[in-house]
Amino acid sequence: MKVTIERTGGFAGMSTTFSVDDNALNSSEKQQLETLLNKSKFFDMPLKSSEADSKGAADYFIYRITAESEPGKSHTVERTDLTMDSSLKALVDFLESKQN
Amino acid sequence: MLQQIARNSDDEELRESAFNTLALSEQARGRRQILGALQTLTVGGTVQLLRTVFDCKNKSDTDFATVARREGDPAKNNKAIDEAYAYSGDVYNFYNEVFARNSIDGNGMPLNSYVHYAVKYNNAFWDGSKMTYGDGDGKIFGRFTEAIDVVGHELTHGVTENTAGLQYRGQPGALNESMSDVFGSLVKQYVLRQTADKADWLIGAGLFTSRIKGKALRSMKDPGTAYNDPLLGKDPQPADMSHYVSTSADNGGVHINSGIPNKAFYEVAYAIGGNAWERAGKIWYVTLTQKLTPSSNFQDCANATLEVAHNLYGDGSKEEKAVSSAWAKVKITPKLENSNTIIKQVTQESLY
Repeated sequence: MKVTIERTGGFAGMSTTFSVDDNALNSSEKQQLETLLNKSKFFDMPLKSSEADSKGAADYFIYRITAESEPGKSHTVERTDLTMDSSLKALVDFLESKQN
Repeated sequence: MLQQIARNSDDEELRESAFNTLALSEQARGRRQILGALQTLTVGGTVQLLRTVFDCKNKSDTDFATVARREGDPAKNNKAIDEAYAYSGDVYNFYNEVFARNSIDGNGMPLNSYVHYAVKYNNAFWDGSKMTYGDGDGKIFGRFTEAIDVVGHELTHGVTENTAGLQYRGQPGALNESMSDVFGSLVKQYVLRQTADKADWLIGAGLFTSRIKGKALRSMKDPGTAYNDPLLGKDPQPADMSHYVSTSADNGGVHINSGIPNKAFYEVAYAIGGNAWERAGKIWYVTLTQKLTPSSNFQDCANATLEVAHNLYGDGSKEEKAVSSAWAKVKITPKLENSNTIIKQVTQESLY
């Protein structure tokens, strides 16, 4: 299973992609990834946040996260620094930490 | 020294006298601080600078940040804290001295900065009421408080939110971004006392680490040339309308297409000459605060700046011509629609 984050926006306006293929993870890391996906209820999250983007907010990062729920079936979620909850943030931090 | 005497001297009288002197000095300091704070809260005066800097201590929940520096407090010897404090004061003073604007909302709104946000956070953002700054990862970026134009850029998002209200996507969003770059750059030029020809017209110069092949994040003078690095790629900004970037990323490329109105502003400032905040800046400020609306696009901005220049400086004036040529350079033709509108006075001189 592959999990990919496309991060855009931010003050610098740069696009960065972080991805992890769980085949490349050891069993403890695989477990961690599964836990993070479950804790954040990733596969039940709607594509966009129900919160309106804060009026006047600017230069926040925009995260587009895609993961496979089963082979050939992927789920995508889009959040910002302002609409991302702590459990989703933990998933993002984990994926970022696995980049070389 | 007084403390040592108060604590350690064998002579009782000397101890008492040292202690009393210390107490009086502390009182005087305290009184000065309180008076200083009261002064800044006085309504009626035009200066209401009220800054607070909060330390997020590397957490990403700002609700748990602690107060690190209040208005009037001495420096904390922490770069992010002291830079956020000093630069937000510079931005306040710029808007106050040049445009008679009393803070972001024109009504003495407190300026709150949150530093040391999250871990290795390569960014700074405005959330609608406060500024938040990361420390950078040390590989690509250093701390985001280091560049005064970043602070100017963020606070200007607040000014825009309270005036034109440009929506943060597509062309209005790119215009919103450009306004922040324009006034962010003008704050820097004002503080450094640079004329348009001497300014570097760069945004975020000094934020990259020495590893990165790039002088800044953006160039208003030459969009697309600020960086070209093996890791980051090349600066994607277009310099004219025929190279407008259509993308779904970054709210429709607001940080990318801002290059077009940025270039237009640079050209106006350069053609007029002298201090860019005086005439080019005034045209742009009046446009932002009196003419633009949430859905204004680049064409609307071109038309508005031409109208403002026409009304402020006259038909056929150097300033009006500078505005026309500047937009033509970025492949937009401004149209003069309202040649006789009344413009509210904005500068300090005009109050006398």
